[in-house]
Amino acid sequence: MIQLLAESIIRIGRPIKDGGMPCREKIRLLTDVSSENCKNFFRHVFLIELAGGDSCLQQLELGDMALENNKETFTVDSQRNVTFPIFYPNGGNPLHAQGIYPLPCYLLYDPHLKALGEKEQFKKEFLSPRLNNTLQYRDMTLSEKELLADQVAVLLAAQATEFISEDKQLGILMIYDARLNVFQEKQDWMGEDETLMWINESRLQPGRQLYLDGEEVLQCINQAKFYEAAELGSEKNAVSTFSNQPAAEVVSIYNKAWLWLSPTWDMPRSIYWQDDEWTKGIKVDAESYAAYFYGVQFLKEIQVPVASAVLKEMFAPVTSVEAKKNMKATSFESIYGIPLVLPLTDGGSQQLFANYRRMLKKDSEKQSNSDLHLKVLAGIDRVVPEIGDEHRLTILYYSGDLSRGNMHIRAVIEDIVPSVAGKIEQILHDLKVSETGKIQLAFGVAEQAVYKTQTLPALLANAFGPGYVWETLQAALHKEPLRLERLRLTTARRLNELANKEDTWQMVQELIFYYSFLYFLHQYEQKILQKQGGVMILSDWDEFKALYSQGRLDLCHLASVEQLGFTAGLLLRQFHNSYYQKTGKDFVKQRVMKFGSKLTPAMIWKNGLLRCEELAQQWNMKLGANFRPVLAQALLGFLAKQDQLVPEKDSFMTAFWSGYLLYKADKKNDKTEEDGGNDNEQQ
Amino acid sequence: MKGLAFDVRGSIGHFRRPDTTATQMTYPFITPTAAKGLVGAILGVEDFVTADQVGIELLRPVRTVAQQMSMLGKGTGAAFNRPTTIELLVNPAYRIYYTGEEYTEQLATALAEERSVYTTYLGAAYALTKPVLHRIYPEVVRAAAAEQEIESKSVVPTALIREISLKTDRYYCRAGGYLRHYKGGRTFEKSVDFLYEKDGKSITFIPRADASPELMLAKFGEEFICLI
Repeated sequence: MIQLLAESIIRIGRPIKDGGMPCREKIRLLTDVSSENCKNFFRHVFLIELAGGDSCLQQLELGDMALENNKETFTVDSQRNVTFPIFYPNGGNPLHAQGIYPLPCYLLYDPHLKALGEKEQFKKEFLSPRLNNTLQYRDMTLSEKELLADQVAVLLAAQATEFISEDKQLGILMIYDARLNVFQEKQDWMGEDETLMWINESRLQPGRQLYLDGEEVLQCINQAKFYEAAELGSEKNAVSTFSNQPAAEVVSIYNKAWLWLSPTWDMPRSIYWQDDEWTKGIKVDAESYAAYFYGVQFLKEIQVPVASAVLKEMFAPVTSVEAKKNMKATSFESIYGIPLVLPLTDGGSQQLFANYRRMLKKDSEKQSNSDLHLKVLAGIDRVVPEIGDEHRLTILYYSGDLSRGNMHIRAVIEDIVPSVAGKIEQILHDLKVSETGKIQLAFGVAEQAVYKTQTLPALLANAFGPGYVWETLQAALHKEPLRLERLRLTTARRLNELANKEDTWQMVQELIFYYSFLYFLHQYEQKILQKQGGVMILSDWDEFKALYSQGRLDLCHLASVEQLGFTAGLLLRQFHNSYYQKTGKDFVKQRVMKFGSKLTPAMIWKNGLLRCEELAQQWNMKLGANFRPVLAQALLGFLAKQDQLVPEKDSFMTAFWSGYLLYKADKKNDKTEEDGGNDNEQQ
Repeated sequence: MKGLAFDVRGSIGHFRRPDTTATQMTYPFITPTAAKGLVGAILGVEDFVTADQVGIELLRPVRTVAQQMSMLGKGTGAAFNRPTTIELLVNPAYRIYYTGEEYTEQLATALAEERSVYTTYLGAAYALTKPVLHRIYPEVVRAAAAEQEIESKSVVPTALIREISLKTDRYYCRAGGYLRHYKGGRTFEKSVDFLYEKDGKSITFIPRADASPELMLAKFGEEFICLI
């Protein structure tokens, strides 16, 4: 059971950290430069250049305005944004300095920008707190930092009027301080260098180019995050919980980098620990923490909300068609899904790194048949590249507001064997492309997509009900048996509701879903549980219907309540057709069901089948040759099974309506004896 | 060295993962530190620190359910109730193997007399359990570190495994990040990751010869048990 927890996150992050990912890509992953929340910050980038006592200011705009759907939106220059490594605050007051800044590159909010002209205020409220929390300036004395803040504040105040406007503005302030080793200046244009990232041309020395050293930045980010974690505890020369090796320095893993581990909640901190003694529980070394941070960023990147249409299928009531119809897809709380792939035993692999990189690209299309499409399996739009069975897939669902540390796990489906998931996906694929169409054909309706059978969560939820979604999803993905009772109950209730409304078309839709599910279950039992026999799918009834039309159904064919129900359905429909010819009335509605009542097996037997012969005589009805022999056997069947009719009523009723509605497509069996029994459709 | 095995069963259990805060998730089975803590509760030692070792066998399949509960709020200030999601183990049952020079004798006596000083529970006070002595093993021997295939009924630390012998009727799972040592004063050190079979079936593997001495493979009667 791989939990979405520190140890797993470290195991996910390590191959990403140590793999061959280019440094730009790593910075993009670790920072918020590509975040949708941050795009407007790049509209006002203030680059302050400090070198040898000289200083100057440049204002840049990294991107362009574009018209999208009649709305102007800003598109960030995706090449250059990575040169300004910014971190979007997670909760807290964003106007205040937060955490530790790896280098002097800060987000400017509107109030900050509007205060640029107020030198002292800007210095006190913005610059000093941030410079004090900047890793690169940790070794600088307080007076040196004051001097630096003065220099920057004066420069900004002098030109403030040029760039402050009435509108709401957001920006970035980067202090290019030539003394810091993250910055480099070159005479030449370096082009697409692996590690050096072009900031801009120098204004202090025109013609020379300013660069950011990517490798250095990555080290600074890792270090800054490590020190952030130290706020809740750090120890020198202690054993790391995860490497089990002594380390020069270890820190607490609890912090807001990954809000699952946010210390907002005191639990599980022991009452015997001080506020900064969280290391008594879990302590992590710098290397493991860096891997952890990579893992965290990766998971943030790949988590995805479950589509609202899928949520409706998952959580709308299933025992009432009307109630479901009236539910809006937007009335369900958002649920996010996070897929994880990890090897079963220790160690990572290059293959895993390649897979993670592909997952980061967020392909929504499979590249090979062996890829897993989680949209089908779990309702989350992510493709997991092909993995062997020495790995395990875990899917975690949560809801709530992550930024406030208020998230609630809805389900954790752990240790899914990839090959099992692949087989289930294949079954669903076969159901979608061929089987559903055949079922629709059998019921005489046009072929069309059935949304509720296209994803596993929707299929299971419609069969079992919202209260059983997670349990059955877990059971299916864990190769556990699925039981049919709930499916029959929910189907029987929906059919009964629709029968009272005389909504035959919708009843057929319900039965199409029912037989689609049975096909899924039949294949699941055969291919995954290696179980032979089991449930009857729609095609299994073909022979049964043939025997019926020949009048050769015997008591031995009515061994189960389901078979008895199906036969009763066929009989009543056949009788109804003749009855309608004679009387113009609906037999089931008039004689079998009482208005608005719930049709039961007993009513079908006593108000329906038992009256057939009497009414046939009374109306001089010409019934097909097959009818009476089968009716006789069915009545004997009712006698034999009368004790099972109540406990197994859902099974009986679902089969009854199946037989009743399928008979429509079987128009030849009245022609064998006489012409009077035409199956004219009543409508 | 003497050893014993005792069983604990319950309808629910919850072994809080310390690396979940707002949402409370559980380890999939009893942690070695909680198993030793149970022994401390039986013997009445409040801050139970021991070099004795435990092994864990699953007697029932691992099943969990996420449940929302109303719990007292966050922080130590004015408490308020808030819905909290908690993951619970359903029908947990374990056989705990215990051996070592410090408390084995006392534990055997207490279990034989069905005596426990403190209440025993499966990770949380609402998940009560009664330890039941299964068997005493007069001699528990450390298994030789020969790298040949063995079958173990207990959960297996991944660091002990050189190679798993995968069987088609087994459902292998991994559980990572168990705290390994309790040092007293609510302080923990190191971690251990386990491989286990979801339904509690045995695991066949080739052990590593160079595994840490803290992880021991021992024979309880005819059974190979991995000890922590």
